[in-house]
Amino acid sequence: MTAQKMDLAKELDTRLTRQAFYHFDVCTRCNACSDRCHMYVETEDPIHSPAYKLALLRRVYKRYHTVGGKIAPKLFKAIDLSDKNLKEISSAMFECTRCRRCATHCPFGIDPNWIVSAGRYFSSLSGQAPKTLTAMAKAGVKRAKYIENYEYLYTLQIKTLENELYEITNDPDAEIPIKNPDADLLYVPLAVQYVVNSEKCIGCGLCRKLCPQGAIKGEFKKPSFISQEECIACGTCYKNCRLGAIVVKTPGAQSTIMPAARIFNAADENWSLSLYDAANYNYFLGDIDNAKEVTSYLINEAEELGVKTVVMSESGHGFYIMRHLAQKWFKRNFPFKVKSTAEIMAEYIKEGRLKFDPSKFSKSISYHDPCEVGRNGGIFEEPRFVLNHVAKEFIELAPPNREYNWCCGGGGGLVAETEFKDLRVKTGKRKAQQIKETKAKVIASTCENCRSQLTDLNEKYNLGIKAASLMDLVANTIKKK
Amino acid sequence: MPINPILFFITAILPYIAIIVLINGLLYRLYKWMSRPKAPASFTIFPASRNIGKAFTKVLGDILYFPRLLREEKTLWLGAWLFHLSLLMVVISHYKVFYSYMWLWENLNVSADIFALISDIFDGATGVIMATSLAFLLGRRFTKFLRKLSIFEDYFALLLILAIAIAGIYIRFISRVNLFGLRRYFLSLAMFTPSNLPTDTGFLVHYLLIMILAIYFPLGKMVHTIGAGITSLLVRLEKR
Repeated sequence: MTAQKMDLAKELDTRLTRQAFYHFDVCTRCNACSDRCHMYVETEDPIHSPAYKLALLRRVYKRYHTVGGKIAPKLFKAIDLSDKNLKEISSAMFECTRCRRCATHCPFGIDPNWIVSAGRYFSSLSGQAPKTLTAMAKAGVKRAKYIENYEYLYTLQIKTLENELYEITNDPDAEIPIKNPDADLLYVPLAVQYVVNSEKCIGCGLCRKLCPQGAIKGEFKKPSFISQEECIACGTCYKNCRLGAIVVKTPGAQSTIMPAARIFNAADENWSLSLYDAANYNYFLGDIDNAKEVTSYLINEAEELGVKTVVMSESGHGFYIMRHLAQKWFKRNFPFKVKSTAEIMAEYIKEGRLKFDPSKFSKSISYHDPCEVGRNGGIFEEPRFVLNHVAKEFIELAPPNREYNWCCGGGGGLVAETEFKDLRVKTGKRKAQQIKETKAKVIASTCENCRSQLTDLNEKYNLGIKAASLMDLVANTIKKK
Repeated sequence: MPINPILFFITAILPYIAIIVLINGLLYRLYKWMSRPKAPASFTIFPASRNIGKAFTKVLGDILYFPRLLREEKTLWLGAWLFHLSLLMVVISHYKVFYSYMWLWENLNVSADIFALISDIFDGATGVIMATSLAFLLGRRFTKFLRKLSIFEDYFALLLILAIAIAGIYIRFISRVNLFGLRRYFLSLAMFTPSNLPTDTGFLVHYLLIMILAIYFPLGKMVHTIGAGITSLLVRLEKR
């Protein structure tokens, strides 16, 4: 037991980088950050204070790696790796949305995000990570690695989407190209995740028989469940269930592939749909090695197709990883540019490739800056430019907005993890107030996480708004040729 | 008169130890940081600038008036900024301990009385600002959550500087020290031949505490003096 803990302590030492130590040593515990965190403000729980998160990891480090902490742990408040402390570290690290709002208000610019990242990996090594996130991270690696198994079914799924596309647009040329060798642009969507609705499922066992991966488990006449580690999201069960008991959890395909197809086709773009997923749960887990592996497949695909631009769908962290981290991870420059959906749409509008029908959209609209796109990604002006063309009336969100925007409360993988639903709805209260003050009818955002969270907030706090994705809004207001 | 060995240690040996520990300690901290592997991640918070000159200007702004703190923590900003301002004022006013700048005032046609008045007001203001801001910062540490967050060091650093400030006010206004004697002492100290050792109790307390601060400086949170610029630049500069 103790040997295992010493290994853990050693692992912590190797994981902490130079920047982490700047943050450890420079922090003067002035507590300017705590009241800037939407989680701390609502819960008043010390583990939600950014300074405390930093201090927790630092105290563990001190206990095992400094003279003072070894001799007089009480004086330095150094803590050992007891189960209680491990649990506290785990909940402190995983109940953070990594929005970095605290960093914008730290007098030193200390950024707890990277401490949280190291802390999350540390917690997952000690076996304290949330189970859903670990499962999704594993499935993510598997899906990217064994893409050949998944490709055929995925193509079928896209064909059904293409049929839906004809119906919506009445355009016979509408298409969703996959592996298009002449493509200039690669679009990376969000993959779907399927879960069984246990209220509707009668346990007939049809899906269990049909699943090519054997990922659906259960007994006869009892609700089945999908093991997310093995599921490759082919959609076979979804299509064949006669009771509609299989639920699409992240409406990825509907909300990211369809509007994108409508926009790219309207702009006559020579594009191709990526086989891979924009979401990267290994990044949320702080597991950088696996996150790199998942990203490398996507980069290979883009390089093989020889595209000039890679557009990441409305997934905040997916965009952030490709735009700001991937080149630094692999220490080379890519032959393509990485753009967000807002950037590419703004480009089309500037070039006159997209025309809008302003009569279609008369409600007042506001824009919520997702953390990973705004503060971390640097995209502020483009979405506002697009919205000014789409809507008659654009209102800025009630201050603080832009880089000081309140986090919606769903970042850092919290939306995907079912166990955190109560917490994130509770801590989204600040955001709900801000939206109420704004008095806009529609809140657009360029992040799927934010959109789901804003929808939940709308239900809970009766805001009377509609949370929409920017691509959806644009796709619905395009003027037909 | 025989020299008291404790007095000799404090005034003739400890200053050298303190300055060696201060400089080497800070260099050691820098070395410890630099010997760590660098994270490939980007720490930028947008909007940031790609131009290093512009980023440096912003970092300088961060160091001079703490704009990030000013945004929402107005009270803490006032306390912290006034404290750091008074530190700067202290450094300026300590110049006269080592060197006389009467010639400047004579050239400006300011009489000795007016100079003494200005000096008294400046030093008095410095002392009051420093003591009150320190008392505020110390009082904050006892509020509910900060008590859980603070470690021994936080109280120690504040109390040490407060003690230095009070001793300083005492020897400046209540029991004044002889500056001419001190000047000769510091000159001899700089020549590595310590003589004219001071014996004034008030001054010795002030002096000893400063040397303790210098020795403690590289060990704890005071490294934010050399680290703040680095962390601030990480956030302000967009690396390509």
